[in-house]
Amino acid sequence: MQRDEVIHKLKNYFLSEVLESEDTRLDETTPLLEWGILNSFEMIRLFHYINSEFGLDIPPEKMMADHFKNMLTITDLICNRLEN
Amino acid sequence: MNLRDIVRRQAKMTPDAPAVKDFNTCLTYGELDHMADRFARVLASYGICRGDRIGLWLEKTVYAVIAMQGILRLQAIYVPLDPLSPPARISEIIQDCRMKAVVTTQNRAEHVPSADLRPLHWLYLENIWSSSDELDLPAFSTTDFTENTASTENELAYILYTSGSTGKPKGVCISNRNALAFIEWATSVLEATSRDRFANHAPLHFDLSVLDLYVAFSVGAVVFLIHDTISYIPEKIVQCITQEELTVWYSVPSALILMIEQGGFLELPSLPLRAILFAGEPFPLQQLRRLYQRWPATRYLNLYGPTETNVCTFYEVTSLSEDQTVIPIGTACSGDRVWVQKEDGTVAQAGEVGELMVEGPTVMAGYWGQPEQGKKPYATGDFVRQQDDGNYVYLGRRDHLVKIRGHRIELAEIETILAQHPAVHEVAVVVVGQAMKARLIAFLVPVNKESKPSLLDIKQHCADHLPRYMIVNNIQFLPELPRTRNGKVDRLSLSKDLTDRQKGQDHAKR
Repeated sequence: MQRDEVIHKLKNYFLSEVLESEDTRLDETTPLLEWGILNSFEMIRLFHYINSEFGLDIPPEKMMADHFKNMLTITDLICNRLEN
Repeated sequence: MNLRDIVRRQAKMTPDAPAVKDFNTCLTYGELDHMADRFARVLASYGICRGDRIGLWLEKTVYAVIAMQGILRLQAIYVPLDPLSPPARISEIIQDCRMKAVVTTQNRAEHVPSADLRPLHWLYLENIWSSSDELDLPAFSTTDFTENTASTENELAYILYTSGSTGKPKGVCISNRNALAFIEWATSVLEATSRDRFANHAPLHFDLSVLDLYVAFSVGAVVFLIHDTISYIPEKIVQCITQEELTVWYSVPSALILMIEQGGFLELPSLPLRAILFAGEPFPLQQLRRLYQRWPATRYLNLYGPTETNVCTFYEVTSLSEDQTVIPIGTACSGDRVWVQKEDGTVAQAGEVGELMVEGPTVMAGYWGQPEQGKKPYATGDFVRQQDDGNYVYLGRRDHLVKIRGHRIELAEIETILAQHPAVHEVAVVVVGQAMKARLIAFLVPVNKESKPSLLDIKQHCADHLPRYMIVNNIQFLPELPRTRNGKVDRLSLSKDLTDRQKGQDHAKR
């Protein structure tokens, strides 16, 4: 899967499932944790989404804030695991 | 006896026993004692002394605990700050209690405009522990502070900042006496021993962490710090409990519900926990029943008390009958006296509804910068009723203070911040849903219908001024806010609208 495709899917997920709005400001570098878009509850939902959409389990050691800063870092995490 | 003596006394008795542990490091009582002394000497070299307020703006690791103990040794006052709060709020708190120093890391401090904050010392954790030259530090003898306690037990030990209705956080000042009265009670009711292994789930700026740390230190047990990044990842916290063989757990019910629903907590072959304590929000009975039935040998304690009073009532769950609908908050503890006061100021009888009042040793010294509480009873703002069996039952709030996953939030504080956004004319914030599903929704009346702010605009604005748990989850636009007959914003109709709409959506999804 291409990076662009992963970003596109994540963006759709955040717009429709998390923000529940068509916010055009959302982009790959929007700070998800800092702006409270990903809170503890949304984090767990995101793990489930990544599992069902990409067939990936996020191992506990990757559950660090650095990997969930924005959609770019989440994409890195997903693509790295897809390659391995 | 003082808060600062607890670790020192234990270090003399069992220097080699483990005291505090995080994912990377485990310190014995001897090491914690030594490092706390060293930390105190570093602080003293900056001229910090008795009564100074020192901020702790750190992730939760053993180094934060060392810093706390070091600060206490100078008879200074520690102020734990939310590691997730934005620099603007941190700066507000620094100014409010006129801090002399903040212990933090360089990357955090860089974001705080410090021009208005002088004379403030930024102490970087990385520098404190990397400089090996102990000789440069001024002499500091632990015997400088003898057990001359009577004169100092009313001195402040720490300040916890909570959400304030005026739009500014307020500092709850806790004295040595306040904290010790609670710790002594908790140690005894838990029958804690050195064989216990305490979990610390709550962040350090949350009063729940006081029990975890100081009850463990009082009996020479170890406390395991669960890092903030994993504290709501159910599989991971359940793993901590089993791997570390933790025996005492204390958290908000939300965390326990997550462990039950998604962490495999009820599917474990056995459970090392001998006591589960919870506080901060009501525990839904259905979930507690599952927990209680699966692990009947574990003790379950519901603790109650606003930050201002520590824990002032508790209830131990010893049976859960089918017809029971609510877990009481129980009866008075920690040496406190509680009663119910009716609207007209008279004392309510059992069965009558009123506000819970508290007086006793755990009631705070006061809010920072405001007149002392003295011996005055503290009005909790919580409506309760006493049952025939003597236990109190929580019914609701008298104001707009809400609890989300144990975080105390004044809706007015969020509203004050949102009203400062240039595109917002008027605003009302309500909470919908419960426990993990609780969400903050802001109803906005835009200044200009044609240029409404976006959800991300609003989130960014919140993030610049408020801690993360106070950032609104969603927004709704209204031409005007609904009002009651006496002109107040009609929050009830706002939340009712949302709940109805939510039900409609849930229905549609099925």
